[in-house]
Amino acid sequence: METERYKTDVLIIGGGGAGVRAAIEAADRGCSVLICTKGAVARSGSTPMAYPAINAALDTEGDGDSPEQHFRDLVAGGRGLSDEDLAQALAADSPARIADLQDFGVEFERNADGSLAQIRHPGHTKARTLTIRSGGAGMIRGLRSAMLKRERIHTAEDMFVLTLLKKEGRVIGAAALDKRSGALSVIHAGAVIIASGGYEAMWQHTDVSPDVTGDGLMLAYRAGAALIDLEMILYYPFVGCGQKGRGIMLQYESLVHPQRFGGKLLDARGNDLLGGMLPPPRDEMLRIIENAVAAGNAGPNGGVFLDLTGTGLSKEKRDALIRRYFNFPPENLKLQGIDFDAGPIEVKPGLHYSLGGIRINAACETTLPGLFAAGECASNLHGSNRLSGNALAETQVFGCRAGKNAAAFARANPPEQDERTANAAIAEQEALLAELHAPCDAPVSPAELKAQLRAVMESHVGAKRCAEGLAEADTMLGRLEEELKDLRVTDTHAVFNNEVCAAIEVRSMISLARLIARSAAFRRETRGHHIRTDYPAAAARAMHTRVRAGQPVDEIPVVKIK
Amino acid sequence: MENHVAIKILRSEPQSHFDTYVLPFSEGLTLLGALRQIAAAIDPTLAFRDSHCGRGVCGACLVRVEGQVRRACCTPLEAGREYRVEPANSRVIRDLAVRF
Repeated sequence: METERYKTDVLIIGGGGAGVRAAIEAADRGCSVLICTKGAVARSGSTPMAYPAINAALDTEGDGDSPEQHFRDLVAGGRGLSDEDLAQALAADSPARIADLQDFGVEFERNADGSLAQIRHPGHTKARTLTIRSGGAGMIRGLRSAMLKRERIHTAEDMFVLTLLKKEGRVIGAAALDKRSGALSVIHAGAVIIASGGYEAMWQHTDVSPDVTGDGLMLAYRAGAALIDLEMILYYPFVGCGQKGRGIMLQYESLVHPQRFGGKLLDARGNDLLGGMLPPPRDEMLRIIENAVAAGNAGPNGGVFLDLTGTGLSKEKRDALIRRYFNFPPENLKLQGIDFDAGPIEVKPGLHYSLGGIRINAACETTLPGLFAAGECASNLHGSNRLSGNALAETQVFGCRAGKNAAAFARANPPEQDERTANAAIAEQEALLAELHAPCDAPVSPAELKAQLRAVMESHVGAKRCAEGLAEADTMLGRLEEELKDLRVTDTHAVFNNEVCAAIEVRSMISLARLIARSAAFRRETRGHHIRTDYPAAAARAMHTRVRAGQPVDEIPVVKIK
Repeated sequence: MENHVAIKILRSEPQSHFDTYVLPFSEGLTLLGALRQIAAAIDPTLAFRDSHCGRGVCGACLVRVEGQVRRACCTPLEAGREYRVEPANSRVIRDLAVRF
């Protein structure tokens, strides 16, 4: 099959909130942009499923909020591991990015006087969380229509990027599999932005889409960029774990808030785990649940129980609250099998956000020239615990910065058609794809390998870790890595071959899993969402763990600005 | 069939035809869950969009069920029934995967 060829000033890998915002910015600065997404823009990845919270220190409620206070709360919430240059950028730029979203047609909840409504979420000292109408899906729809208005932006959906092209230490493009035709593609670019999201789909119990497999991190790693804090994964406290509603996130910030839903969190013995207190930040909530489970008071699926039966809320009032605080209407909850009237719902903490990722500075530059990163795949803005509402703000602030800086880089370094580099990458990828169809005595499928990988991560690299379990994980992952030589697919179609894509994903996921397990073993302390049962205290000084190709895990200081 | 569901899917290769898959029924099974089970355990050649919010907001799992366009993640299944599933629109890439 003929190789497809593209040439663009800026190539963006990922079509979620950060990628689309970056595209708009680069296009408005005169660059041609190509967005490659593994799925469809606005219908894949994490942005469409995000709850409606986004933060900006606008002080519409008049409680004296400021970017300085937003910065302080974010850094305190990150438990010492947030890079302060990134935190400062987020706090300073969010108000302007909210204004941009309004220009793009995104709507927010308002007060009776027409001002933007802001509420206080756990860990924030001020009311700074805005509520987006229709949640992350509403936000990405607005961004997508702004994208479609810009002629310089081209999209290649169902285009799975396989490797970055590099020349003399600089990233100059990528090679991809066009899922719609089955052909390999070469993209020559002046600058490349990775905005591909996190890696939560490597675990079993998650509320995130199964396509969130960390591919972008491994593209950067294999090209030579540094990744940091991979062991830092964020648990959302309430993710449905019973037969019905499994994997559905339930917004604890409002559900157990005495002035909102007023629900209770009970263990299997009926003990009230919060006792009327305001819902705490996610890492503290995680500990409350983990302690109840460790005390032997877990439900049949290892969780605890959210009980809304005694709140006295009318159905109308409750449905109005769901419409406001959830990202989907009450009838969808019912269709997922969740019925608050039928009794308590079993929930347990599930993977929700990847705190670790590609190391960036406040200009979204990675450690490789020509390569930028923004959004969840980049690190480390949030440290070891992310406050609610800072993720969608991150997509807009850093998407915009990445677009601006990649545009400047591409103007200074226009795309060049380096056929030698491109042809070598295509030949290498052709060989890797051909191997998936080669004869094999004992083939193993991508689905089997993914299932085994998720089981290892769930049992040994979960919220609670210890040296023994992590060593066991490393051994088991090593075995899976050996099995990759027998990885085969049965689907021989060229067009829209999910099995081939799953095979590409699982190759990358196993490598990433080993890096995560090794980073978790290296961090001999407990901090935020990283709970080491053998090292229960936090180290005196927080350090980033770092991985680079061909080097052992090491550590580097957290960026401080004062 | 009492503890099973049957999913009859319009396939596009090598020419248009229906394949019927029978799955064990479990409490809370949605059509999206069934499609994922079919691809993972029965027939990995089934093409559909395996990225989704799972709560009815993103629309990646749109399919036609008994002639009606529906979100597979918000379509709970009933034991003992057969469901006819076709692509959501005419811009078919392959099987149930379409361009939006």
